[in-house]
Amino acid sequence: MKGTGFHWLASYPRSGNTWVRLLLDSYMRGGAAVDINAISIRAVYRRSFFDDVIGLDSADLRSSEILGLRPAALRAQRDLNDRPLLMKCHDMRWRLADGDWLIPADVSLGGIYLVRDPRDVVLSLAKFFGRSVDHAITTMETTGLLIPESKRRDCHQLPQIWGSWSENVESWLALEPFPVHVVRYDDLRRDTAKVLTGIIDAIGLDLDETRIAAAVAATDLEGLRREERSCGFVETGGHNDFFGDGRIGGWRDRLSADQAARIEAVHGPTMRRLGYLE
Amino acid sequence: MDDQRLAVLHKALNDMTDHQIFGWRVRSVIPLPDLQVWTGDDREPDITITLGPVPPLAPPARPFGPAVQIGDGMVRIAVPAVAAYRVEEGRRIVIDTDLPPMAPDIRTFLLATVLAALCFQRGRLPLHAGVVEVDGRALVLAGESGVGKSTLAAALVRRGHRLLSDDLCLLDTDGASGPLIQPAFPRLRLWQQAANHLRIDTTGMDRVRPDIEKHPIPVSQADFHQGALPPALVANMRFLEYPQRVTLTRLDQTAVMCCYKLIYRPRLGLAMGFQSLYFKGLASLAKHSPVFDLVRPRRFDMLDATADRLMALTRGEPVDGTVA
Repeated sequence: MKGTGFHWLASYPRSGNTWVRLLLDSYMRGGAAVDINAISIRAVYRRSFFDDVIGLDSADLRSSEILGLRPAALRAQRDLNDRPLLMKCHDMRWRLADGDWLIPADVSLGGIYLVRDPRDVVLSLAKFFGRSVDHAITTMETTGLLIPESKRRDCHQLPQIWGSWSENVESWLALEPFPVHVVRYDDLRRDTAKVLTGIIDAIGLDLDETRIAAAVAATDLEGLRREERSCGFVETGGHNDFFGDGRIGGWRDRLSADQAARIEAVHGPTMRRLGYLE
Repeated sequence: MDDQRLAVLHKALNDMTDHQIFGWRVRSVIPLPDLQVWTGDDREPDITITLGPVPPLAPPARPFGPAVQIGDGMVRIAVPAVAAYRVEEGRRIVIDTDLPPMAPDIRTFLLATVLAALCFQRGRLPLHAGVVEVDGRALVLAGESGVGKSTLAAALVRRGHRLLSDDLCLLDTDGASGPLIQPAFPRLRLWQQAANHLRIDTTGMDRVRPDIEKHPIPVSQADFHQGALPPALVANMRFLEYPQRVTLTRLDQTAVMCCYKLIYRPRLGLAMGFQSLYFKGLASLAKHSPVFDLVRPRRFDMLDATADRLMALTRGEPVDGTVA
């Protein structure tokens, strides 16, 4: 990796982002074992950093005001680092009122966008939130969705704009403000080593097949689930285990026909673009 | 009424409305209901707060992010839709706002970043900490925004400890007998959810901003500590989602010297050129007070357990699981 700025690990939530962070975390440490509670690749939503470089307490700002200041916080973070950073995010790409992009090209060296069949995402999202599948379907349909939705409680993360699932995906498939390497979760599950090779290449890390194999072995899903059960996971949503079974097409026997039809009706065009619908 | 009597009356009116913070006399044209009325001597005000135009600073002032500009002896802090503030030489604050002077939004930023910039200019170190009195000394609950300082301070006030500050206090290192924590003002700021947990009724109370459900909650005179106190213990608070228990780990003096998280807006202070204050202040703290890393789970039901552990530690009682 060269230059200063960010390589983005972007996705709609529950699309394999944490798994890819762990794969890269292991790879960058020579294929070493991972500690799920100490992943070196952080998310972009740390409030304390924002407060420190912007000089205002984000708790006293409206979500729209914080979103408007996030590019400045990113530029400050870029300028404070002399090396490229890998950074997780779940935002859709969004043009702010002043014309700036929420994730601007001038802080970005490139990125990976991970996408997963929305019918599988919905099951994982419902579990993560501890809510019904129908609630998760509604969440994924909500255009311009801002998280958190309420300003009643303290939150250690900055507001994020997820948008609807389709908005999120389409915004990252677009070439503006900079192109990214798109990865389908299903492909990553089917042939992890091959897809990880593509990711490593896109980020500009040196390729090493032995380390790739070791990283794949170190982040075996069953092992991650075992670690979560015995040690817990700091990034848990607090309702259910974070690491699921990672099944592809699990929706076929867990979504009702009506639920699947509802998702397909709303997200059909984007699903077709990605080969999730005929 | 002759001129002389008018002057006396004016002075009396002014004196009545002056307020205090960190031991300074403050004269303000905007109401400051959070602050205590000045009860000290008849000195001239240390700080005046006026209304007036606050245009962007001219070069060679430099930007510190989009909201703050740093010039020679002055700082401009602009919060869109609220106000622009110019802090001058540690003595004067000019506020430019379209809101009514009573609007709590103005005070929300005035008593935070603007106040911190003023402290730096006056050569004093603002700490990012809630503070309560324990047995005649100060328990300092430091940490970044969102870590639960106010909620823990509120829980300790409920247990009968007097409040010195809920978010921003002042470290005074001028005294011969070690550092002192200067009290801020009798107010807590709590999120609705925290207020609910502590069973504090927020009906009819102001909000920090109209659409943010965080309330400035007045603390009674009896629950506020007026004077400065020496620090008994500093807890550098952090939270994790997962841990099942509260962990306290003592920091050695070198670690304390690097603990800029104890300072309010540390990057701003550095950009303003006040790093020497950090060395002096943190060294003084490290020398006179134990500093602990406090890691706790982000759950209200652990609040009492956290308070218990801290209280025992502050009072020098043995505490299970503490690395001393």
